[in-house]
Amino acid sequence: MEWNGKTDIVELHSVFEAELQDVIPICHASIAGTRIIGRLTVGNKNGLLVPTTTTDQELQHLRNTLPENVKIQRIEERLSALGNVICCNDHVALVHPDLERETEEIIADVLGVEVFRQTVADNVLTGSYMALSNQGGIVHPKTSVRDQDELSSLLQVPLVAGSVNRGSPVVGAGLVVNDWMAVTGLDTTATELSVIESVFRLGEMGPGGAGGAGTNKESIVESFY
Amino acid sequence: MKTTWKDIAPVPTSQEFIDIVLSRTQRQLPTVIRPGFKISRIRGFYTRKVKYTQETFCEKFQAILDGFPRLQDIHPFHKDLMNTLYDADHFRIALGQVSTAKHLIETVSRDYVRLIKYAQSLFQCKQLKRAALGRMATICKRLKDPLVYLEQVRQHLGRLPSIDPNTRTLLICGYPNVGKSSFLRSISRADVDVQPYAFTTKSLFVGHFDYKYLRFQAIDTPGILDHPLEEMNTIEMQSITAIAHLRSAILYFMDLSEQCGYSVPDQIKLFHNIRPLFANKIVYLIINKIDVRRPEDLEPEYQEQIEAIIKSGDVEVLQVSCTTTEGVTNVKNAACDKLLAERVAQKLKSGTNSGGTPGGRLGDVLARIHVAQPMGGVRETFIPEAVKSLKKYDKNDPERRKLERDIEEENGGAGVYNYDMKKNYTLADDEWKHDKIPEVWNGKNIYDFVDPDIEAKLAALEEEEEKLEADGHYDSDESIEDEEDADTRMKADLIREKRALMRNDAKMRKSLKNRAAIPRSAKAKKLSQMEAALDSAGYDVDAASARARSQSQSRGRSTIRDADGDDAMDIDTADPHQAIAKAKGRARSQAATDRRNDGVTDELQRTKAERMAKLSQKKMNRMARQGEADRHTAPSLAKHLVTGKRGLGKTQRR
Amino acid sequence: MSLYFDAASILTTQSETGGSFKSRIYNSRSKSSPAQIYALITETSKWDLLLKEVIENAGILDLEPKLSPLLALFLVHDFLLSKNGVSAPASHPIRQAVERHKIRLKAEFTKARVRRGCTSIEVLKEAVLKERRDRLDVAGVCAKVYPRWVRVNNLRSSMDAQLGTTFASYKRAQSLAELAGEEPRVYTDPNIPDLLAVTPGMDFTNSPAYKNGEIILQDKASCFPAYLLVGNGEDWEGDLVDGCAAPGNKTTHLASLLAKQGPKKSSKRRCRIFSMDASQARSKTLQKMVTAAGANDIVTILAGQDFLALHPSDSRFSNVTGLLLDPSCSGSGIIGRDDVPQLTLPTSSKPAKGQGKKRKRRHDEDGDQQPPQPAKTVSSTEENELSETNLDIDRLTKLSNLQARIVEHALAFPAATHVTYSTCSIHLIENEAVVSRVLASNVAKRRGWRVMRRDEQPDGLRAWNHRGIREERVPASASRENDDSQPTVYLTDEELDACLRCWPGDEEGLGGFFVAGFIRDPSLAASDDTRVSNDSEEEEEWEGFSD
Repeated sequence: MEWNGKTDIVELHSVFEAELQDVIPICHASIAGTRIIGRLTVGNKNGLLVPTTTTDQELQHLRNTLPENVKIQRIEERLSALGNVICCNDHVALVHPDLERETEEIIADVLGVEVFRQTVADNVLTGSYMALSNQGGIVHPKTSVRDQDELSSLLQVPLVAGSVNRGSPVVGAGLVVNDWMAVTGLDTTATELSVIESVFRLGEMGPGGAGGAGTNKESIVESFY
Repeated sequence: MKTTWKDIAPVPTSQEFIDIVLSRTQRQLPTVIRPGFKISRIRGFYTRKVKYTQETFCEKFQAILDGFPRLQDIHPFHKDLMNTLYDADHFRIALGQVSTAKHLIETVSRDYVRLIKYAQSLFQCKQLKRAALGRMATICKRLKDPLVYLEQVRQHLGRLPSIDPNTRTLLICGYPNVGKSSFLRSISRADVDVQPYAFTTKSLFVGHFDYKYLRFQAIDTPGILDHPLEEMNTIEMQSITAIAHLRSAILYFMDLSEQCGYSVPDQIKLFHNIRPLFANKIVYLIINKIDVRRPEDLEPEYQEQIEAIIKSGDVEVLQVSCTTTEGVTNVKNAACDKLLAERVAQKLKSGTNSGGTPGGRLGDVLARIHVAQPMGGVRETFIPEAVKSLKKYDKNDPERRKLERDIEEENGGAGVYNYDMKKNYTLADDEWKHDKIPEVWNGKNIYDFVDPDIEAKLAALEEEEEKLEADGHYDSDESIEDEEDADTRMKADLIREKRALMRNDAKMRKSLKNRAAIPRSAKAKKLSQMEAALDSAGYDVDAASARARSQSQSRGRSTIRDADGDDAMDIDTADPHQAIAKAKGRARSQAATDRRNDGVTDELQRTKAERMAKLSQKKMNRMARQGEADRHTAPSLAKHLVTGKRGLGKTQRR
Repeated sequence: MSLYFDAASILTTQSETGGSFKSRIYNSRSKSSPAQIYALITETSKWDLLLKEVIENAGILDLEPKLSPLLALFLVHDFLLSKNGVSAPASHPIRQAVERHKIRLKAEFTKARVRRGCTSIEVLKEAVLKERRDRLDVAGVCAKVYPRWVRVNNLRSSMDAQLGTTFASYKRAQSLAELAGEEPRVYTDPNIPDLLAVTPGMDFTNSPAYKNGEIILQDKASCFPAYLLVGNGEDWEGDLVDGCAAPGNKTTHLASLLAKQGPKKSSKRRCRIFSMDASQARSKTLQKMVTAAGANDIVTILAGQDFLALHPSDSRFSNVTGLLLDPSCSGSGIIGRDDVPQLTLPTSSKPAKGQGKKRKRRHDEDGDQQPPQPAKTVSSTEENELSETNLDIDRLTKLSNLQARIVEHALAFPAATHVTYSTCSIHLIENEAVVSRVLASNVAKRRGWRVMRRDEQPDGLRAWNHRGIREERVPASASRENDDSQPTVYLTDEELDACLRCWPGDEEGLGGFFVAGFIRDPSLAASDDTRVSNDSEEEEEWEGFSD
């Protein structure tokens, strides 16, 4: 779990610290001097990819902070907002169709995943329009049922079309999620939260719970139609 | 659709109305008029007064008409409710009167404006104005009752609860004093007055609560007595209106203990009486006050009647006690679930086209409900063990974890404290954490030279070295040099020494000073210098100098004129240099050019060229503006216009 | 690694020897083991549609100039589907060419699987096979069933015994069409005795019955001549000659048919079969087959003996009454050469410019006239047919001359009464035209030969409906320029009706084949003068043509 910037971030740091405690260490970092690290980097438990614009010092800082078993790699890739073009969990990564072949190989090596070129609801920015954990995933709200099924089979996790932050389709950017916790934007509505909780099997749904948004079907129809 | 009317502007009484309008006319319009003024001016003055007053009246009346809801435009529930509360006819008539008054005032104004046009004096005008305003005021005065009534309606409307007739609604009804309001209090946060007497609740109350992430409204209605509809009073009619018009789940409350003062058969009878209103709605029969008396304790005949109700249709019986809160959530959940299910089913039905496939927006919504399940296996998850034993952070726990926020507080708070980014480094030695590493050193980026494997490589090198040493690789005794080597070395030393001397010599030479170093090849050396240098180096100089000489003298015919000039033409001047200088002083002669005919072969070509030149000039001429180079004649004024003092009058005079 | 190059070259180059797909693999002088190549090609052919999709989506053909489409198909197959991956050293360029894209290939493979809604590779395999079948059905390529034909060798076994043992687990089919499924079924042929049709894809080469020579894998069409010659064999007298015997299926068939009379006629002198082939090497195969079939005691093999070099009046052949002739022909009727897989090749998205030069040259060497099509299927037989239908009228003429000479030679045997002539060609010039020439020849007239009429043929063949033709049956696509050189057939309808034909691709499940029988009718011998004169004129015409 990481994000950048030093100023005024102490509050955010504390919130995460309170939730994560020592399970996941928190690292302050910047990428190419910017704070938007979530959009610029991508990673999972195996490794972290940073864009070519990352400075040597930033890279060294990350290397010093992250544990040895997490690989870090700087990618020479034209599409430098890696968080927007790559969406991954610990097993699979969906990437922008225009990514270089070399990048694809690096992703597979560093993150230890299968790599698929894919679009989500005809959007090439897979990382923006999809949030993924090992237990589930949320895709752009306009994804067709057929695409959802295909993606789900590709990823081998249950998928649901949803939104965050009061109807924003950029689920990848409005949500950080792992197998046991999710953090969403402040504007996220109760229904959206319930969908997120159920598809990622968080909170009371618990790991191994029923999963899926079936239980909330009525609420969703009521609130969206 | 509007569900609240809290923003209607207050309606003044007729007297206030007149005051407002007249004072406004007074304030907004000029007041000074003299009999000596031109009659047209006087007429205009009064016309304006009349018109302005009429406009103000109309404006205010229109505001009232617009502010109140039009009964035909609002939801039937609200329409009926208003009918019950304010009597629709009365309401309509009141608004109608206002509207009529507005028209009357318009007519009056029109008439008097017309009359003022023919007034001959200030006095006449003034009288006409007075008459006009007086008539308007009279019309307004006649509106006394409607305005008072409308003001009351406005006040009442503003206090009506905001009931959305289309949302998810639970409707609580029943005899007075059976515990309806208590139930509303227990399921929502509505602060309803609960008193142990009948008709505590005299109007509709709304409470809100959340269930399944959705907002529900529960409406508490005043109690209903069992008599025909025509005999019902306003309070009861509100309940009836709500029951009749709201798409809701109806909770009919019964009190078997008869503490409410009505017998069980009465309550059952009422249920049957108002049952027609429950058509197409979800109905629950709620037995309240089970802490006092449960249905099992009821007389068998009543039990049978209740059974009959259940059997007769889709009515369910639930039991609740608001005092012990037993069954409250149960009732709430059951009712909400059923209501939700029905609403969803209805929506799906209406959104589904004839082919049975959900179309348009419903299709989109359904795509969002769809949970795509993968074929085959699922992914292995990764949840650290530590998560399971994670303790929820509690702000009040004295043992709580020290957060960054706390550290900040201790170190001077925001703006003073600076987060230490290096404190979490995982390095081999903790002391290294804060080591300073330059980014650039000697103009080189340090990280270009960082090799993560440097330790390993060094170790490998050292090992190799040790091995070589152990093998005796360096022990060979090749240090003894022979005679020849010594000689070569000696010579080399000599050469080096000489070179050093030369270099030193060159450095010492001041001739160069600070000027650019000229390459030796570009610098002229005297032959004598070369000879000396070669001589000192021990070379034979003859051949070299001979060659240099021969090169400096070119072979063949000399390029300059004979010095003695015997084969040249005779010229006047003795000094050729002078002649050249003279020649340079003259302007170079040039052939006369005819610009008109240059470059054109014949007459035809020339006319064509001229035509084209004109053509190309055409646009430039057309676009031309006056410039400072253009001839310009400034306007001249007659003398009397620019001379003489200015008096009190206008400059125009001049 | 030469495995992949070998496999590719087998599919792309025209085999000069012909023969079945398998035999071409085994005969090819490749370094890698034939079994491996065979497995590679057949396995790849099962997956080709899927692999084509994967390769095209991964776009590796554009990036890897080393990979030809065919090569890519094999490599990607091994890379994705074989247990041990690409069987080449890790540093081999073609392996690297594929493994450079391993992530992409695997991803595309998974995508293709998911797109078909399959959870595992096994399910996918079935789906792909089904898809392939459907597709081929649509294309009409494989619509017809080509069953595996099995002849029971009466010398070693009998029909009933075989049905009881080898085919015990097989279901009986009522028609050929029922053999189309995967389930093992067996169908007793109505035309030829002792012949069974089995579901295609059954492998008998390891069964004990095959090893013992109890059953012989022989196409139905090639059973026609022997049956036509000796019928059921029960009332046959005299010796037999198989003039062009190798590989020996017809010889053993003759022996098998004669075996039925075996014990009954033991009192008489037993019939002998003289079997010969001009090629020494092929004679060895012949010997092997005959031994395997247990026919050594009635078959005499004249190894390396050219039939034309035999003297008809040799005392050995004084008792020869029947001759079976199956001279070499163009082979244009052979279908599928059992099962040369048809591979759908991936295409590169760019116009093939980079690889053009090399590929073009190879095409030229092959004599491949096809323009580079976006997706073409490779199959050597197709090329064979194509080249043969279009060109080679010269070769056909030469072949037909040879065939006529052989038959005429046979007609000269003193005691001969029956001769059958067969080819596995569909060309008129090798078939009806030869019959017509032979009938017109001097020796035929002198000795009174005529065709074996339909009513004289054995029952099974009498029922056969496909008969001789008068005009060349030409595929609509291949319009022939040399229409003037079309051989004309001077045969009566009765004579044409006497010729038996098989056509590839019809519902009978056979390849193209031609059989005709000749019978000596002493009553005709050198009597009909008018006819002789007529025929001599024709003879001249014929010579004019066969120049």
